[in-house]
Amino acid sequence: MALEHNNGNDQAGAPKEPRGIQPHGEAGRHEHIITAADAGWITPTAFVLPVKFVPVDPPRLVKRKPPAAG
Amino acid sequence: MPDSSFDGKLAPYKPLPQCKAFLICERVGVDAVTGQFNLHRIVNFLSFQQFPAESPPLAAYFQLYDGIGQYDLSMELRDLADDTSVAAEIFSHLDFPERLVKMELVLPIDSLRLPRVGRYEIAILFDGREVATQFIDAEDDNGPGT
Repeated sequence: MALEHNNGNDQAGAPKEPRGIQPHGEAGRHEHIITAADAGWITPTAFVLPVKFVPVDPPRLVKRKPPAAG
Repeated sequence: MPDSSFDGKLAPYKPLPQCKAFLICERVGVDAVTGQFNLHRIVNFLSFQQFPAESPPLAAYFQLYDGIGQYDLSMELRDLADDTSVAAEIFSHLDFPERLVKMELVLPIDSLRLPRVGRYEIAILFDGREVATQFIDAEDDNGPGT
């Protein structure tokens, strides 16, 4: 009997996973989790920028805009 | 008397982008079929057994529009107990291709170093000007009275 690759999705009647895409979401959708490695434009209107916070030492007072008068 | 503020020496005013959504979550995924974003487990507070604490990796998701051209982008982590900036990240820049395009911005955050229990604020700034903020609470996991 030929074995069919299904990315470990063994439930009867469950949809087969396309190769190269891992199911992550709770709803079982085919989804890519965004990480720092995705930095840059991932669609024409979506951009990924990884953040690595650097401590401000000593902490500095936040400059806040005064509330508008009236 | 003529108004000297219109003598041409001031930099032209560039409007800031409008922020329509700013959410902090555990992770952001993009649907391989539709290209739509999925936000997983929106985070309003973090619990730790001891402080200072390091958060697990997080992700910030933004929807922005009405930006014009290029902006210098930065982010701050603020301790609201004394209204100080305790951590900062300077990015290079972000370019808005068209003014009326709604842009989505995903910022995977390595971790947040939180010195003590309390309320913190994450702020995103364009050209040094604050565009949006979001609170996050750091809680003591040992329960009240400990």
